[in-house]
Parts: sequence; structure tokens; C-alpha cells
Amino acid sequence: MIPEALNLTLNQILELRQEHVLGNISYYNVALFIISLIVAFIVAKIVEIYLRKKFGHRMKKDQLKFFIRIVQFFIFIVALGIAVPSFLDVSITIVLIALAGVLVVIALSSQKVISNFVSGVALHQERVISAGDYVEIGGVSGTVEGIKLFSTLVRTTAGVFVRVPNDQVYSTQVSNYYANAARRYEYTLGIRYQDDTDQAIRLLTSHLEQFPFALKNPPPDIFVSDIDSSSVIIKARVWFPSEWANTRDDISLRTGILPGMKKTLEDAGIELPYTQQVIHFAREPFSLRVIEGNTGEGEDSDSG
Amino acid sequence: MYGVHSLPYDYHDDIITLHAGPHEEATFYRRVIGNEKIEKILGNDEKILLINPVEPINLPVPLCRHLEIAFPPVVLRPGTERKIYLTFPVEIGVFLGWEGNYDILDLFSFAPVKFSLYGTPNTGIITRWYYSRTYGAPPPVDRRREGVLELTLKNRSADYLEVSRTIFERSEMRIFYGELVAMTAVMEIYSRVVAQTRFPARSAFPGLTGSLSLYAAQKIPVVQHKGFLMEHGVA
Repeated sequence: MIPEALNLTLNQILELRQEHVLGNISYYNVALFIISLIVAFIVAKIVEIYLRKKFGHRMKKDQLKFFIRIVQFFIFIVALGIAVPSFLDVSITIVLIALAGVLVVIALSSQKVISNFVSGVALHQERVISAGDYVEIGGVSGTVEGIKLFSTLVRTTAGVFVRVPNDQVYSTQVSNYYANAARRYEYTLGIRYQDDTDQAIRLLTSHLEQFPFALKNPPPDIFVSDIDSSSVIIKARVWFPSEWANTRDDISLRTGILPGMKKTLEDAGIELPYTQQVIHFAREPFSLRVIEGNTGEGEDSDSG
Repeated sequence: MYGVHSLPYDYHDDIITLHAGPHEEATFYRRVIGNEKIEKILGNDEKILLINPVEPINLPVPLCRHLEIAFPPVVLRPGTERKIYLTFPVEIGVFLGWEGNYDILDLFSFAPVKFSLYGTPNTGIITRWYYSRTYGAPPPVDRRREGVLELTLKNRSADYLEVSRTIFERSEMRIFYGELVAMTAVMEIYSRVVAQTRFPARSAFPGLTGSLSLYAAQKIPVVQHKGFLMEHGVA
């Protein structure tokens, strides 16, 4: 049962085709415009499937998605460029001039938006960061959730969701802690002057050997880095898998390693000294040794 | 301990206690190693427990895809082959089965864990690192802790080469179990920098059963196993 209103003969349809809806715009123009958009939509879908097949294994998921969106955007722009002149029944030159004018107005009024968009394209192109990476952008540290058209979304280790505009990501210093497979940390310990530094280094090497995530290669560098006023400074430079190190806050990584190193040394009788200062009085027949942490009482070396 | 077991199942030795079976209205799984105790309540449909060695790159956290075995240097003349025996760490997988489907229930290991970097920090890969002595025949090992790897070294270059490490990708590994846990691999060395490791389809050790793999590529027969290309040196 076709409703009366839709029960049209071919002649009526042809007449209707010429009938104007608004000004110079006929039903034919409207139909053509809608068909153009439908065709553009189908083409965009086909292109999406093709790009996924072609680049699915070469590009990261979020980068591919971004790339597809841009290609689809241009397909719709081209479709509109073709459909609008026939829809408005004006020449393509006039539409291009109008489009250029509109673009200039948009560009002037939304420089920041365009800047963010272009920065987003540049970030995808340079591949400095991508979804899943642990990064530091300006003052924000966290895992990248995704690079969108205008902004980059970061989830901090404290669970805060931060949106960073793409132009800011592009123009500021970015540290990507996931870019390399391994990452180095540095630990510093001070031991007493009288302790055997070679033994301390051997003990720390042996301790780190037992720690599964301290990489075998490159091996830890453990060395005497300084002799300061109250202790001999030993530094340990240790490599860890980035993926493991970056799933933890730096603080927990350090606190997980340092107590073990301290205990290893102390178990062998090597102490981590207090800050000490020996004071000599030029005219007095005694000297004072002040040990930090005590009440400050002096010890008379001559009093016996 | 290794093999397919119907529930209820009990196993006990000097280092491990395993129990799986009905308890009240559900199936119960308990594993005790030293002070570490794992308990899980399962459904009622599960009837089979499969225990076998799996790719040893999962514990304590799945951090890498490759197993690296370091061994004392072996010198190879140009164009020659040599068969050596190494040991590798064993990780034991407990799979739960119903109607022919198996899913991983528990993973544990008695082998030490150490990670390493093969290559440079920017282009290299993280590996599970293990040191083995080199043997001329399969060494006696505790099959709960270590497996035996028969490795055929083939020097395809025109130079004398020194080899002291080999690396395997997890989806390539073919582990067999029975009286011992074993793998058979071939390492073709093209230069001091480049080599390829691969696993023949059959084990060199007779009478062993193929392990159920944790990684999908092994389960798909059409997937071609091209081996792993070592591009950062063989020593």
C-alpha cells in the first residue's frame, strides 16, 4: 500500500525535479547533494577498510586512526566541493572564492585550534610519543592515553586525567621513558673512610646480581665517585627494563633498591656514617668532635 | 607431576604440594611452595588438569618475549656444525580443561630470574637471561627447575666464529616433556653480528610429549615459523 502522497507518476517526478524548493534550489539539486554525501560516506568507508588492511601492521593503532580521520576529512571536503556548486546552482569558481574567504575567516578566528590540529599531525608524523608511552610533557608525567585531533590525553600515576593541547606538546620539551627498551637509574651511598671500598663495590655488585630486574647487560657501573667531608661516595648506575621501571613511580623503584643495598653493606660491617666535623681551637688545649645526631656535647681529648 | 590428570588430583614432593578436586559445592585448587600459597575456587565442569612446562618468559611478570641463554664460548670453523647441550629455566603451567578446551590456571617456577638487554637501549630487546654450562651430552637435571636444550650451531660464514649466546622468540619455542623437559633448536650463524635461531618441528629426544603452548602462534598450523633473527651479535 503506497500512501497517496507518495504515489507519483514518472511525469510528476520529472516535474517535481524542476520544481524549486527555495530560490534557485530544486528538488533535483537537493537529491544530488544528498547522493553526493552518501557516495562520499561510502568512499570514506571503503578507503578506511583499504587503509586498515594496507597499514594495519605497519602503524600503531592510534596513529592509523588519526591518519584515517584526516583522509576521510579530505574526502568529505572534496565531496562538498563537488556537491555544493550544483546544490546552490552557482559556478565552482564562486564556491572556491567563498570557501577561501571562509577559510581565511576561520583561520584568523581559530588560530589556536588550527595550530593544535597541525601539531597533532606533526606529532603523529614524528612519532615522538604514542599511546601507552610513559612521558613527561612540560610538568605533566604519565601514560599517554591517546593523541586526538586537538589534544593529547595523559593519565598521571596519581590517576589524574590531563588534557594537554597538541601545540603545547609540540613546542615544549617531551621526555619519553618508553622510547628505549632500557633505562638507567643512579644510586648514591656514602661509606666511612676506614671501610674497604673494593669490598663495598663487590658486595653491591653481588647484591644487584641477585635482583632480577637489574639488567645483566649492560652491567651495573659501581664506582667511587667522590670523597666528601665525612664519607667516601659510591655511585651505582643500574639499567632496568623501561617497561618495568615505568610502571612504578621513581620513588618506589628507588626505595625498593636502596634499602637492600644499605642492608648488604651493613651486614658486612660497612657503615653509612653520620656527617662528622672535627673542630680544632687554635689557643685551647683541646679539640671537639661534633657528631650530628648527638646532643652536641663535646669530648675533651686531653682530659683523658 | 607433568601430564594430563583427572580430578581430583593430588601431588606432593619435597618442594611443592598440589591439590585440585571437589570441595563442598565447587572444585578447589591449591598450590603450596614454601611460604607461598595459591588457592582458587573453580567451576563444576572442569574435569582435567594439564601440567606441563611452558615458555619460560612469564615470571615474575611478563616483561619480554625472548629467552637468552649465555654459555661458555664455542669456537666454530668456517662451514662447520656442532651440536651442544645447554640447560634452560623451566616455568610450569597448570591448565584447566573442560570439553577439550584448556585455559591457564596457574604458573610457577623454581628457576632463578634475571633480565638482560640484547642490543643497544634504543634498538635492542629485553630478554629473560639464563646462564648455562656447555655439555657434550644431555646433562642430568632436575626437570622441575631446568630443561635440556639440544642446540645445533651452524657456521655459515667464511670466518672462524666464537658463539656464546643464543636467543629464542616465545612463539617459536617448542617444548617437550616426559622423563626430562627438552627443546631442540638450530642456530645458523652468518657473521659475528647476525644469526638465526629456529625450532625443528620434532624433538631430538624420543618418547617426549609436546607441551601445550601459552602463545597463540604455535597453535595455528598455517603460521610459518621463520625463526628469530639475532642482529646484535652472537658473543
